Amino acid sequence: MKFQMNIWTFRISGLMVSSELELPGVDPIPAPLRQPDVRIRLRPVPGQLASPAQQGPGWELNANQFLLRLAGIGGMLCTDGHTVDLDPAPGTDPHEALPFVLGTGLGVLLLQRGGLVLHGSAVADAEGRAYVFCGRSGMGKSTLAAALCQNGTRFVNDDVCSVSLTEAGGPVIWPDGRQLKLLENSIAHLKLAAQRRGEVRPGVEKFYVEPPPSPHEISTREAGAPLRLAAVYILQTDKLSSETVIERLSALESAQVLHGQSYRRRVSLAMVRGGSQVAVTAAVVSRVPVFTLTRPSGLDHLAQTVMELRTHWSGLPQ
Amino acid sequence: MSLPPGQVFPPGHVWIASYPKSGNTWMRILLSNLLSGSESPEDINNLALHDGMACNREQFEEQTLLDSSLLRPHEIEDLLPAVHDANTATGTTARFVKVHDVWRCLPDGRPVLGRGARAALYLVRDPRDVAISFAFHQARTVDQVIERLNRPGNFLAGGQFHFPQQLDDWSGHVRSWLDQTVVRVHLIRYEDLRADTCGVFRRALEFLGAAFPDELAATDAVSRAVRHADFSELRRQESAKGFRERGPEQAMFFREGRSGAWREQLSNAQVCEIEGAHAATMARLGYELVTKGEGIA
Repeated sequence: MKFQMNIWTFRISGLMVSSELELPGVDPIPAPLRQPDVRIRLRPVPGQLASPAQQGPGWELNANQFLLRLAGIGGMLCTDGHTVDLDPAPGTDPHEALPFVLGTGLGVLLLQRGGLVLHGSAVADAEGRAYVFCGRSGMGKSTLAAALCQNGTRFVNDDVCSVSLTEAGGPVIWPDGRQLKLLENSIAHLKLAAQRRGEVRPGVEKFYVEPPPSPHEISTREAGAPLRLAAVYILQTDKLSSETVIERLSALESAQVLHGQSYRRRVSLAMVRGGSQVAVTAAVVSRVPVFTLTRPSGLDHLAQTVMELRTHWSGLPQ
Repeated sequence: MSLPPGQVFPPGHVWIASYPKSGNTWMRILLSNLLSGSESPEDINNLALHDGMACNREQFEEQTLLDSSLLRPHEIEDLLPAVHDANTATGTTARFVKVHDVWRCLPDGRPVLGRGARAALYLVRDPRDVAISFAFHQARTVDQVIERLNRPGNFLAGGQFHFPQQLDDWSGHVRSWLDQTVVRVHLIRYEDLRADTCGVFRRALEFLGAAFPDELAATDAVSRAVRHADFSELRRQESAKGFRERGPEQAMFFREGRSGAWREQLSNAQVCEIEGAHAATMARLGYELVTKGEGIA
């Protein structure tokens, strides 16, 4: 008897992804005629890599492979920027591991492909200019992106933001087919309960949230097209402040900060050689203003920050 | 003259460990002022010593490459020993990291805080004074805090940037650090540090292997650090600019800092509750009991 396996197709960070598992928080698209850029497969993965160049708790990597093993969850092997093999722990539902495939796994894959991958969430305005908000986990990147979408901007991506260059050398980012991931308190504060979808993982208090719809008409062609990167903001909080403060960084500071904000920095650093990461970073530094955005901690001042940003964008060079 | 950590201390990871409200912040301000060597006091909101806390989510994510908000508590716990082994592995510089967690091992024997730290300073304070200070910090009643001091398995809640911190009861916390055999530990009583800050701080520096060009330089550096970390200076700075580590409902972080306030501020019943639960550990540390240490009926 021939086993018929379902294959789903998704568009993630500008890549065509085929998957043997349905991915949570991403809308499937019709299967393309061409070969996918990335395949997510259920396959056994090795216990360790033959000659790891670097390792950390639960992971190791060499020039073309990255292996992650999590007790009670399973193993994941990312190879050559093209495949993610998932090997669930015995007796474990493979969906348990999917949030890590979609986060760390695809992030590493993007790094293996040689680009600049920022730990940030992004939105775009009506003119198609994109703004990325970077910052450490818990800093409110997704919440700010959601609040901006409620204020008339378009959702571009959440948490992982891949930057590449156009033929003319301009930095662009790719819209993601993925939904926002928000904590319950952010969903309540932004009154997004109607857009709340499933738990990101059973037992953790994070939920997929359908991005607030864009007020602007977006054609299917536009929906997947890259967007010009207009500014990068590094989110910080200051307990002692009651105001939102936006400050431009110098070119040198920008280069340092962009490295610091790269997704999974230790992998990113290991992938610097051989990729276009340096060239993309240099292009961002020379063409895109980078700012720190310091705001009071908590959600109470979120609306104020949104207004400050709208004003700030109107003052940026077109 | 600035003294870079690498020139004063041997490289390696040092835990600044204590139950909350026992002088941990003050010790880090003392060390920071020692290392800055500046003619003016360190800014308490921007210390040169900024190696973070053991419960920091960012360090965990940096090491594991995982989004910690997608992990369940037992999955985080299983990864912590390896994360701390990596964080505490000897580097080229001296690192001082604050920790309020109890010293504990997972069921498989791995210490949660790893095996790599080169030393620990353990600060302890009379639990009767801790009760008062902790109550102000947490905006709780003294009775609520005493219940916390006396309850095994007790922990501080986590947040967006921090994991929960396992405290255990006060005696359990003290015993865990003093009786573990993985990390070399130097005990500092808060009361002794208040009474003779220069002497006690100097002995802690000797334990940590601090090296100075000569005796005069050592005396000068220590006395300047102690002067710059004086409570009047810390209060002056907090009054002028606030303090980031202050609790959300707390008026001032640097409040009194004195020893023995419990004699005026705790009721007999409260003293009995604390001494009843912690008599053996208090006696071990030289804290004189005023009741028979049998608690109240």
